[in-house]
Amino acid sequence: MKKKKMVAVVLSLTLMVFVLAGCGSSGAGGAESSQVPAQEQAADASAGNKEDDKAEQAEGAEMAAADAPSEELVTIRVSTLAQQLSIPMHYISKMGWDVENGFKLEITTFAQGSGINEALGSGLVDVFTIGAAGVSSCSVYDAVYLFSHCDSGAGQQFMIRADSEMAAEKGFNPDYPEVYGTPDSVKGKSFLLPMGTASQILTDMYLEALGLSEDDVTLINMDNMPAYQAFVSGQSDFASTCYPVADNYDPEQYLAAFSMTNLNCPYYDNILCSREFYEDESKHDALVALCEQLIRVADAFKDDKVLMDTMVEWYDINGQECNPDEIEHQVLERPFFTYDDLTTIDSTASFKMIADFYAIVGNISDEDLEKVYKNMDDTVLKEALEAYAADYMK
Amino acid sequence: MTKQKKLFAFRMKIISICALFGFFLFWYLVTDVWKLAPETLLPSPLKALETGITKWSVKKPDGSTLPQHIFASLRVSLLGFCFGAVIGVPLGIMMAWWEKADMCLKPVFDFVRTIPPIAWIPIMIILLGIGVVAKASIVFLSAFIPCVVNSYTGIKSTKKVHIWVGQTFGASKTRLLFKVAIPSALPYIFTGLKVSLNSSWGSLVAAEMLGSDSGLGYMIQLGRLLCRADLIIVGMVVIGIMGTILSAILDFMEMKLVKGAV
Repeated sequence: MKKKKMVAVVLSLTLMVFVLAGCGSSGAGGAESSQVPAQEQAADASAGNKEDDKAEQAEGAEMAAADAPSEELVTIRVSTLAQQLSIPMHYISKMGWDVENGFKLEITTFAQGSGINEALGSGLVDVFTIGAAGVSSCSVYDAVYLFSHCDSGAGQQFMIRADSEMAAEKGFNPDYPEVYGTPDSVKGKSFLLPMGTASQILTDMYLEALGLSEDDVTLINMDNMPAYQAFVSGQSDFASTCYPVADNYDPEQYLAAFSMTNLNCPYYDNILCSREFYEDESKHDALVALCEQLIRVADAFKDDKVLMDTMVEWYDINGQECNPDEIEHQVLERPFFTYDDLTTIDSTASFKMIADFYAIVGNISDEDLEKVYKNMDDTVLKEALEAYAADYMK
Repeated sequence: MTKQKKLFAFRMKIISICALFGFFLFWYLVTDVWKLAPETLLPSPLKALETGITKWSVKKPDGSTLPQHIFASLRVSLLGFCFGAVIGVPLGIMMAWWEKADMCLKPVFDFVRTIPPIAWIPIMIILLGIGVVAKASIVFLSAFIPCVVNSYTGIKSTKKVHIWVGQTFGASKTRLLFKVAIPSALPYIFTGLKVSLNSSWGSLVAAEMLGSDSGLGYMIQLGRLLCRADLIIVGMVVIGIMGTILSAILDFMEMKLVKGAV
């Protein structure tokens, strides 16, 4: 009997040790969606009919191998989304620009920014590409905002039915002549949108332009794709959309009531990194090198063909079918920031605006807002711009 | 009840309370004392309690107070559960009692039961829109399956000897069903109802993915989006409490309605 008790105690203790060991973060581990290293992803993509890309990729990798320094490469765990904002990371990896510059990208793709944030909290992410959810990365997980790299405002819009009362009048507020609707026609209406994202910011700006607030309408939480299904089947009065879903709406039946563009709202995607990675002195050079390569990619993407091919490849890697002709305008309308852009425009404007908005609607506290501003650091960007000017602008 | 039995029941209750207390103590030790998990990933029970108290009256950040969320979720889950029970139990009984009904409905039922409720969301949007009825339908789909399965099994498990006795005394088939089969199947039916109740709360988060502006599932989803683990924990705990209360009500009903139930 005593022996049995002893065995039970030993087993329980062993189990507890394993449980506690499992609680610790180990740097390696699972993520939300596909966890395919970038080179594998690139290899999968090139398995298609893109022989040119294959040759380009092989060339890039060969060059990288030839130029690779003898010392060990710094591995950077990069979290991406299966969207346009993340293609620079794929392109760097594909071209071998990472190995060439002393670091190695290990790309993991997530379905949503919230998944990246959870992985960030678990210590599984070094650098990541993210949209509005980046504010939570800074306020909750103490991530560092490095810079905004892509103007993704195009296509962020709300649809209405062409025969609705909102479509009857345009330009109620003279500051926004392209915006549909009046306070009377919009009051009491329902909006389908993914709450807590850029769509909510856009809604609030629209309501403010009409002299209304969230209390005057009904906001219903729904992602853009189900919102499209619900809207075309007759539900709700406004539906949020963005590329690529936006193109599904029949232009004869539906109108864009308001958008980031016609409300003059800057909306950029961002590059952030974990606090731990940022403060690791041994990885600082690699971080600067990565940012420098991101600027170099923006330069390469000025060639529409390179940009389009990379976008199609990225969709392919992530299992999304697309027609290059149909998505071309979506891709080209969302440019990446080049050296000139980053030295002339305020690329932080969008991130600050989102953070301020989150504080106003109560998604984050004032204390958190301060933390977000504190976590916006342009030191790495400045170094990367200097390095880029020295290396590529001679 | 004898004094000894009362003492035993009391001891069992004390053990249950201690187990619950132990769970919360372990959680407290892991988060607040040993600091094994960061607060952003697993907030302490005290932090969750504080958030729960605040949310009772504060709408931020998700637009509704906790009572509003509870009411919205109760409405959806109870509506789905009630429809599941009202349709599922008679359907299970009918399939078990009438062979022709079994032959007709079982293949369809076996096909439908394997489809996860979340997969129905796009169809529900098109068929029923995004209102309470659509959400309750998602809950219904997960709630009615255990009701059918358990009612079916309960009726099928009726002892042949009881049927024979009824037949010997000249009972009609309908009388046999109501006086012999259903009463003997009641423990199974109640078990089905309890499983169904759990399923209905389980599918609540999926149901509230279908266009919501309030509800515990909605609160959990928004908590995830905003990295508010404390909100998620509050939602989970409240769902747990609601489920326990409703299960206790079902236990009480079973005790009153089923002969021999403890």
